[in-house]
Amino acid sequence: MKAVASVTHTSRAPRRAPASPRHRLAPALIALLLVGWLAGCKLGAPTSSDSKALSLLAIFPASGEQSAIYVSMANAVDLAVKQNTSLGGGYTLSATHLDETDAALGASVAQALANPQVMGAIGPATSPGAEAALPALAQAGVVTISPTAMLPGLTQASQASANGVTFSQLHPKGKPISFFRQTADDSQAGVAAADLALASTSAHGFGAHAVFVVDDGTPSGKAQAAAFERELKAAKGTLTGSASFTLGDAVGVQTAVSAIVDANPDCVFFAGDAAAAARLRATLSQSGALAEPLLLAGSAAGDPGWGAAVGGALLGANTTGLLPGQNVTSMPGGKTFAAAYAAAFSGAQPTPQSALAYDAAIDEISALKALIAAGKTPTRAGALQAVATGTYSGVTGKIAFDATGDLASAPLFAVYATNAKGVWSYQTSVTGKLAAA
Amino acid sequence: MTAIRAPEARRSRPLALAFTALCVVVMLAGCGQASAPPPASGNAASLGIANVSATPPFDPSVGAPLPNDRIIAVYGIVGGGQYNGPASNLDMLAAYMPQFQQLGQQYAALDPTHPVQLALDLVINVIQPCAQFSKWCASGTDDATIMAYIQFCQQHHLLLFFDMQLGVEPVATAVVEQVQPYLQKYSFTELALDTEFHFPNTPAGYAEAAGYPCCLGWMDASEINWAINYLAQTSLKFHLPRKVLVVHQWDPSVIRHKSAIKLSPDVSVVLQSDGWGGAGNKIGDYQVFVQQNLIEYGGYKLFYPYAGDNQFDSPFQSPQDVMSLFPQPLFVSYQ
Repeated sequence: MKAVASVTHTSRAPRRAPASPRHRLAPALIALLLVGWLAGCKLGAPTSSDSKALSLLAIFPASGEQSAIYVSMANAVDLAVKQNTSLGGGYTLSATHLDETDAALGASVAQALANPQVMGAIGPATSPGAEAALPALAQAGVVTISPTAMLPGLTQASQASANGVTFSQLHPKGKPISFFRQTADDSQAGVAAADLALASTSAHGFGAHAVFVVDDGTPSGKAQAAAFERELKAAKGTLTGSASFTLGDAVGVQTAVSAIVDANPDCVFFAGDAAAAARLRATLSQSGALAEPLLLAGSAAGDPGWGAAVGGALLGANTTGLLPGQNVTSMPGGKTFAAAYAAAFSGAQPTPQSALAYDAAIDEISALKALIAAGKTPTRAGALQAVATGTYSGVTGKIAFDATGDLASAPLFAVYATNAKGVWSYQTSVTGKLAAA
Repeated sequence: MTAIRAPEARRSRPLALAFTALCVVVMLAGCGQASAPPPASGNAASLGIANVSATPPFDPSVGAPLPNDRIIAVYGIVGGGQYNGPASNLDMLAAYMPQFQQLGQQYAALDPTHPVQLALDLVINVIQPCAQFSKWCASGTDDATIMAYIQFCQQHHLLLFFDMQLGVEPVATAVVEQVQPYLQKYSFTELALDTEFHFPNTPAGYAEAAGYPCCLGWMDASEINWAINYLAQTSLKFHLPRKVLVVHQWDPSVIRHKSAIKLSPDVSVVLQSDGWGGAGNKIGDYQVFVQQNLIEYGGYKLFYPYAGDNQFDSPFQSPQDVMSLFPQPLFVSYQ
């Protein structure tokens, strides 16, 4: 679906957020809401000649197994924009939503960027989405902050080739770094997961010595798995086996489960996306290995859609997840953000990812407002420089980026675990390690 | 691979050959002959008739018993005695049903993630003395008897596993000639292969079968793979829920080239650890046959004690005991 339009918030079709964070919206309802939302984007669009009507792009998937999270992220951008519709000096702000699952996302982004009033972008949420969108964004010099895209090669030239990323397309020669992310990368997540696997149970770890590693065959999954295995080996842990399967390969996941049962490890680490994680957990549980502890790192951790993804909440038990970021209640501004989010979206509770998206938007908005307040004409280059060099204190804490666009500080992870009924609950937070130079 | 068990302490329950042979000689005719099922008639018969209307895309996982359910089965040998299992005749089976249903409820309570589906594990193809059953060293079951079991299963919502001991009859021959019409027609029919009673259809294999129980039978992975592929095609062609194949294993030697067994997304394969004896030995076998060599799903078999029969489990394991196995078996049968 292509949907490119600028719109003021008051003209957008209303959207309902999930009534309860523990219940995922029915896919059909989500699709309906997103269709309505995207259709609404076309209403009341200002023309490009309206030079003080600035816009931010919000690039998130409009469908997929984690739609509840994606909707919350888009909501958060809307909330940030709504709180800053007037930027001062006669400037106004709106958001333009693009569907990250658009097969022609790169072209859609390029089309949106033809509007010179687009000053920044929030998203994409996923690494494949980032790979598709970044060439156009980088060419246009538009500051882009992804809350959740984790592939190391998106920011680190040294990792790009191993990740299958053509770094020069994402970061054209002669252009300043314009892509930033607020999340740990897959390597950092793999390292943090290994440390958690080996940690004692009193530290919310597994106290494991022998670990079986499974990845989903994606560049992100491979990068996470490799980092996990390196850290495990360095800490004198034992790799009892490894397997890889791609989403949709029923025999592949069953074969991985058989290998896990054969190896009988202390725990299994899964490296990959949420949908594949759900398949592995479901297959383990359905094959008689419900008791096998599963550790994962990524957006599946704490996902309110987990129960549905595994085919029934009970099948999702015995799972621990490391979410790059913090639990909303642990964020410095979490309480205030949650209240504002609930007020804006019919009492819905925000996800941790939505707080990251909110901070990304506010970071860019603050840059624009600072330029305007200084009597300068807001430009893409000005906004980019302000984000790249500044430090912003937001809901999630202080945000500053290093020269590659990664977080300047060691990343935080929230640890979630499912109970016997397969429902996630927040356990603790752990601090990861800085990316290797 | 070393089995963690004392061979002397564990034996597959003999078939009481003399008795079984006598029964089948009397009641069964047409051993090994192709048989076509009578046309289904009446409401009961129509319950299990597959819907063959083409409504693409067909998904064989819809309505499939595994891995969604746990199958609790009662074993029997057509024409056998009480010690051959409660399903050996319909009168014994009917009398056993209340106990059977209670057993199913116990398993359901122990694992809420797997509702229980009750089933019959019915041996319809029994190894026999070659002198009396010269073609395959095995007997078959007549259509009327099979239909009586089918109707019983329809009435009681049971799966029906056609369990085959085979003698020297190749798997493909036995399946196609004896159970194909039922597998194609009734969505609740499944297949089981008892590997230790199967011998190669060669002079050497025939000599071994003739000397049974001097020698232990075996089955090659290629024959198991044939069955997997056959069941997958049957499900897809006739739009039936994914079928289940149970492969019995009593000894490491009874399945050759086990690692060459190839899974299909359209068939659920259970490797059942078989054999009576002490709990420690049975658990050891399960570890070796299932946990350390898992194909897809685990299966476990229990042997009730019967008066006058010394081939039973001691102690007899409870559902709680069975569910403490890892992986938890998805197919449990009671003989």
